[in-house]
Amino acid sequence: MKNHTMKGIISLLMGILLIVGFNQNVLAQSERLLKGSITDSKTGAPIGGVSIFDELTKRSSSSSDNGTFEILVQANSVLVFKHLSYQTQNLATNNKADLQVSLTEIGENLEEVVVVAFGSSKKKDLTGSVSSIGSDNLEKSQISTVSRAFEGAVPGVQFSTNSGQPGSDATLRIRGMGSLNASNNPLIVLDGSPYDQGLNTINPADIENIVVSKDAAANALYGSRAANGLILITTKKGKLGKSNINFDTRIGMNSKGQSDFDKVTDPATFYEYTWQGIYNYSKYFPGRDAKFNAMSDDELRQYAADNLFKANGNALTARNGLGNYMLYDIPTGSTLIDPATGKIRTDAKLLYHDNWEDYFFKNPVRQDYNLSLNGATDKNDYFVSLGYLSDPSYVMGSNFDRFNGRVNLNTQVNDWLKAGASFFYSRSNSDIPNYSGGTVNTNLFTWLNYFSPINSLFGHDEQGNIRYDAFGDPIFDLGTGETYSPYGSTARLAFNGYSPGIYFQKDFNNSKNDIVSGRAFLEASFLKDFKFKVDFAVDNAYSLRTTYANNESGAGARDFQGTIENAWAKSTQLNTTQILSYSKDFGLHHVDALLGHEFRWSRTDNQAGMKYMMLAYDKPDFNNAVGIRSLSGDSFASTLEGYLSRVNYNYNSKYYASASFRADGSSNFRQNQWGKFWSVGGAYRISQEQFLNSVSWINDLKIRSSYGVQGNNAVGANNWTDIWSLANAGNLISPAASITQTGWGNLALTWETNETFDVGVDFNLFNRLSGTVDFFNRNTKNLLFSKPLPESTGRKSRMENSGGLNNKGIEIDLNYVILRNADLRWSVGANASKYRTKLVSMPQGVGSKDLDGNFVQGNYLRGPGKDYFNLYLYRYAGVDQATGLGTTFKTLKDGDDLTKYPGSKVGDMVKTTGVDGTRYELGTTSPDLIGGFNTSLNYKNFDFSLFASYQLGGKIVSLSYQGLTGNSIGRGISTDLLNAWTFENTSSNIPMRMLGGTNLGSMPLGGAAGQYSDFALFNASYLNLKSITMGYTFKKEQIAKLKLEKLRFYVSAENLFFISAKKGVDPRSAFDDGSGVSAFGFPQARVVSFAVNLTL
Amino acid sequence: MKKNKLFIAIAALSISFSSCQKLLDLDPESRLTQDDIQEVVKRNPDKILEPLVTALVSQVNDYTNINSVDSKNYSVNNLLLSLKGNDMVLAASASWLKADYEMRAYREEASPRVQIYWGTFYRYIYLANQILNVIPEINEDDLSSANKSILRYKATALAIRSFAYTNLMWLYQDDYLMGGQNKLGVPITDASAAAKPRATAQEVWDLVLNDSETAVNLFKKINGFYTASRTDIDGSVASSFLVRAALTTGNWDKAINAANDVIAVYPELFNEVEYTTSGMTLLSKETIFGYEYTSTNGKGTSSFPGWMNPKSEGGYGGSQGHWMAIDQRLYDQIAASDYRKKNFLSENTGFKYPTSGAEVTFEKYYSLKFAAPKISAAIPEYNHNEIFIRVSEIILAKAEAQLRANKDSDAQNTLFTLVSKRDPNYVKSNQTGANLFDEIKLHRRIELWGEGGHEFFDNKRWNIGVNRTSSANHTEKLVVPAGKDFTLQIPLDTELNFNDYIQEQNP
Repeated sequence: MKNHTMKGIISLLMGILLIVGFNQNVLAQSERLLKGSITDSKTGAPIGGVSIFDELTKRSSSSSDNGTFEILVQANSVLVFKHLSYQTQNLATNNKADLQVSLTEIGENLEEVVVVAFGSSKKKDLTGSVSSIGSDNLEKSQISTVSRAFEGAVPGVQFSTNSGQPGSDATLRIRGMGSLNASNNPLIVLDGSPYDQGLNTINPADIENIVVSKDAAANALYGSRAANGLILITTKKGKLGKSNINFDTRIGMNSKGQSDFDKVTDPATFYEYTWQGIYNYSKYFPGRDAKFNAMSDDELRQYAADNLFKANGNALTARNGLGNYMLYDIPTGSTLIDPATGKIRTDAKLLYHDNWEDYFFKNPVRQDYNLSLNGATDKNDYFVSLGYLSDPSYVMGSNFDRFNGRVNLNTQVNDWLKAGASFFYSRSNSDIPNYSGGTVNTNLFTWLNYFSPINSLFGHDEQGNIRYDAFGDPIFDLGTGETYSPYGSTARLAFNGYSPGIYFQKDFNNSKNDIVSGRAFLEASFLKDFKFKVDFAVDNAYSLRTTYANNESGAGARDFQGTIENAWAKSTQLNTTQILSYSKDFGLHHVDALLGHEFRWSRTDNQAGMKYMMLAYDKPDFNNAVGIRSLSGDSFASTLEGYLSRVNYNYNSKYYASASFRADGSSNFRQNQWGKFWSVGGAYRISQEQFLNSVSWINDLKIRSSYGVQGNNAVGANNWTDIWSLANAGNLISPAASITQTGWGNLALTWETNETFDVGVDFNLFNRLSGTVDFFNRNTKNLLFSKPLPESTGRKSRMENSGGLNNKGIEIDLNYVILRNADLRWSVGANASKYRTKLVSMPQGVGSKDLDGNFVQGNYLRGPGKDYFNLYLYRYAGVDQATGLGTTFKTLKDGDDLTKYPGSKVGDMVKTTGVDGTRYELGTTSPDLIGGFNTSLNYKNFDFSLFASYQLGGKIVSLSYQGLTGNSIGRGISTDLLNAWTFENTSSNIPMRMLGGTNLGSMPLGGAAGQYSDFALFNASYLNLKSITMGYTFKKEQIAKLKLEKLRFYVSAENLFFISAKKGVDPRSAFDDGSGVSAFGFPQARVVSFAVNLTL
Repeated sequence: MKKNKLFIAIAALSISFSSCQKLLDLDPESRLTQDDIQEVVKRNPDKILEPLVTALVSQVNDYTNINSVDSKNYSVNNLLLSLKGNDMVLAASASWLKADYEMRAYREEASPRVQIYWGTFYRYIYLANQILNVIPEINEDDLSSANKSILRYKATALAIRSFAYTNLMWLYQDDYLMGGQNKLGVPITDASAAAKPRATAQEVWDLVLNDSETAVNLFKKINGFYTASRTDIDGSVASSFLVRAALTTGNWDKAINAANDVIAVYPELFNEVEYTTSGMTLLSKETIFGYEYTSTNGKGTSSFPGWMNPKSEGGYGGSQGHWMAIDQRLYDQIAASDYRKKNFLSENTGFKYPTSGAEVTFEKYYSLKFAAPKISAAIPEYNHNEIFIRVSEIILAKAEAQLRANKDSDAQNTLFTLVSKRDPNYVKSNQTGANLFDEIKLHRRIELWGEGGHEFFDNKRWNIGVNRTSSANHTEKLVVPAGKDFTLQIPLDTELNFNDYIQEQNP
């Protein structure tokens, strides 16, 4: 498969090279000497060191210190003027004898056109808060989906990903959490129309620019859907000039990009640890059996050694959590642990020790090829691209690859009519095992962490050799006796009957997605100032998900002799807009306005079936299974209609005002379908004032502010009505209908509204320091609140419009050019955001008297006026110095037995070793600061860039750490536990090692949300070195002979370095809700690639 | 200029053309709406009521408020209660069920354990109320076949409602006769989403008795007191619920009469072979109400048989190694000639799981009571039938009611009808009073060991605490005196947080 792909791409490339080769006929023409001078567009100062290159003759020259230059040209020569600190300019010589060239310094391009909702605007004229990521940034990172480009890149945008699955989209959130039960996802607009198919379907190489639009004035025109911000993606267009073919290839290696917790991996240490735990339990545990009190220390040591595989708290059971796994050979009649020392016998011989990570992890090759063809004349432009990405994961069973094709065409049909169309196809193929977390048998990382180093991967015989079956294949250990033990049958602590070795090699969860997407528009200009544009977009997605559970091992084999499930889905979105716009200048006054209508229809149909009982091995196809287990199907449709209008006014590019209004109707509601949304905004470019003209170091200074109301309807199609679901209570042969109500509708349900205020400053000083500072205040009202109902009503919740939420924050983005001359350009950039999410009000009836009207939700105490992520946990109080037990804090209340706490009274805080601790508010999980920084350095033809992201403050609960610090016998453990409290080591914060019993320190009540202490609560700060790129671009004259326009070699690394407050904790796996992360997630990958980019 | 005017006209037109309010009214296609339901009810109420009743009964089999492997459904939830007593030993477990067996974090308001029962039984109540809401007004004396089925639905809903409230009262308040009578009960709710205050215990028990009596009478009226099926709710099931409620509230005569009704239609007990080799999965003879496994409703490795059958390959209580045993003290009290003793191992016994070949040792006292053979080769042991009510329980309840109504000789006779079948050497008791009561208690503990959480509820009724100190095989020698520790608190996170009307929590 992969080979075919490679061959296809290479032959295609060859073909294109050939065609292009034929076209490269240069006709000899007469030459003449052209003279000219180059100046700075703003200051008028001459610029030296500008390289000048003739595209036609391939001759080059450069400007002298006084800005003058000479070069031999032909009549139709096109000159390219290049300087590290200025924007490259192409100029036709057009028989001119003397060429005056003015170059614009990089970083100051206020004339740059930025895409905004339903149109575009010059950067200087923006009144809203927008940030952008350009293709130059995208090209520097090796991401399979552009959603990962946002990490630390744009102020106000938060990034979260709970899976290292290649190709899986990260979740993005703009300016905090604005909704509780409706969506918090920003609206993605691709080339003018909303796009629901996921960012991972778009080839990052096709993207020209991404604009993140954050405030009300900017988003008002998408009023109802842009409450969570707007991400506008523009794909590449053909560029004026000669046709180009660009080929970019990256070949790299994927590997695990993050460290695990430090775990005990050595079997000897693990056995010794277990012995010590059993010994301590019988010697010190307050609830130990009376029989232990009568035993001497020597007897207890002997007891622990004799019963290493049997002791289970007070009891001796058939086997304990070690599951009889005995990796050592010891003399008959002896014990593995020498009772005198507590260490492994010196004569014990290790028979086997399987390295699971070696087996499951590898360093596969990542390949990324992109080929594009583009060009433009004054009437037509085109961009055609093909891309292939193969991004296998470093871990078994996980893979992603994608083909992309795109055609973008625009044409000026005649003097009044413009038309354009784009066509896009993407096919992605993913193997997505269930590695995203949780202590489930389908998560490989659970196997790698939760099980102890003595659990074996293969079945081993008495000599420790791997056992083979009659067919010569290795026998995997299923935890059901496959491995020999002198003490009896071996059995794993959990997931018996499964082997990850078989499971993750044979089973799969494959997803194939085909996206066909088209965009087209017609734009007519008439009456001089009017335009009318009709836009039409169709996105079609087809997907087939196949889930296979083999018929040899695991639950699928045991229960069904293998199962295969096929799930088909088709989704279509139609979107059309009609926009009438008007634009006119009256002297220094400028007015533009638009009036429009939008209609969107989307529909999804799906069908899924599962068959079971398979005869052949490894033939995962529907036809190879005989029984039908299930068959189901679903369809959903939704519509949205909007009327929109906007007016912009500015005077002399100094004073700006804008207003917009949109009315939206949504099929997600029934009685209150229509919502009205609006915005006003204004800006003042102080730098345009006369009195600042003389202040040369102020290049630009703008204050802007906006206020607006947006909506959110992303609450699901059926919440307005009561829903009943049918099920089969009989069997497949004789079905019996069973019906239950699954939804409780609310006819009055309507739009959630966001009222957003934004004030910001944009500046550029000394033409070196530019930046933006924004403050925002976002109030969500009529929250779509899934109001929890008391369970005595028999229901869980009901969707209502009630309650309010507030997000406040500040964002800063700074860029500074440190050095700038003809050979060297070095700049740095940094951004930071801070926000807080507060619950303002909540529905009637929520909250309890005992909690002052607040309510508990999982690990949080919530109520009006409180931070929404207000942690409410038990507090670990360290080790009880008398018993070695872990303690939690407790505030004494009426009814407590005060005699247990002499000298304390009601209201005092005491420490308890029992299950009666108190929960306390422990601050917010929201970070104090999130953001990123970058630097880029260009020296002559070398370039270097670095992007990093960070988070400061906030808290995160690690369920993985909690899992690794329990006191059951036989679980994988953190090395922290090796430094547990003892009567000698009294400063340790880890409770005394007493295994098999109950130690209530870290989990006073249990392991679920709301039940544990802050023992596994960590600071959520982190620093991630997102990407580093180093490149060399050949000089044009060096490659002219090869008939190449451009040739660049570069090396690039992604996720090279990551550090967090606790090794093994990745706070990016959740937003503020740092308590919702499942244990043992799928760590991110590291990619290191070598790449070549060439242009013909 | 004409051209331009045309454009403006087209533009204005096309902006307004697609406005069509109807496009925004989309009804769910893949689900039934209230309108669909009402339409069917209007034409043929059977078509909705029958599936609703089916759903309600199936919820007893598979609904649970917190779906975890140790709280899978009603019967597994009962196992958690059985472990909080004297008679069942958690003989081997590395982690699962240990907290329950050690009686940690099971009754505090923040503990998830208190949410399980509350949410599960209130779910049954909600569904029952919903059925009662949908049932049209009919003349109950007109016993046309259409009316008969409507009366059956009503009786079923009432029976399950009484069953659910009984369990809630058993769990969330002290025993009626041990002081619970004058305390608060649980909220009495209806089919609306309205939160309700705690009713008094008396009010709830009145409702329970009224519901179950009404259900029994309705079933009798439609000739549905006894149906051959052991998986549907019939009059004998409702009557069994009535027996439980009457026994709890001290309505001895009511309990005796209801028990007599049931015993009359279930004359046959399991014989020795059935009792000792079927793993309590037979849906025949003495089984009044149970669950039948089908390929679409299997509950997997953590089902009740999965937990309780040590020979179940793959089951949590099978090859996964969480094994239960009977307390040595109770075992020793079972007469050697009593075949019920055969359900527990008299010595260490080796066992080999057939598929994996793993060899294990089941130790003395381990329970094989629920070790049922496979239904068929393709169905694993953990997918099996379950029994919720057996007539043995009803006989023992009758004996207890007779004793407590001071009808000692009747009680001796009733006890004899059961125990003489279990133990051929059993001689009719000549004990009276407290001694006879002790004998009835003993046989109830033996007969119902491991079933339905009975020991937990019986201990409350009999004011017995947990004291395992003198047991030879209890692994956790716990002492918990009878009283408040056996009454759960009302869940904080799922009830008190959202119900302003409940102002008083259990201590």
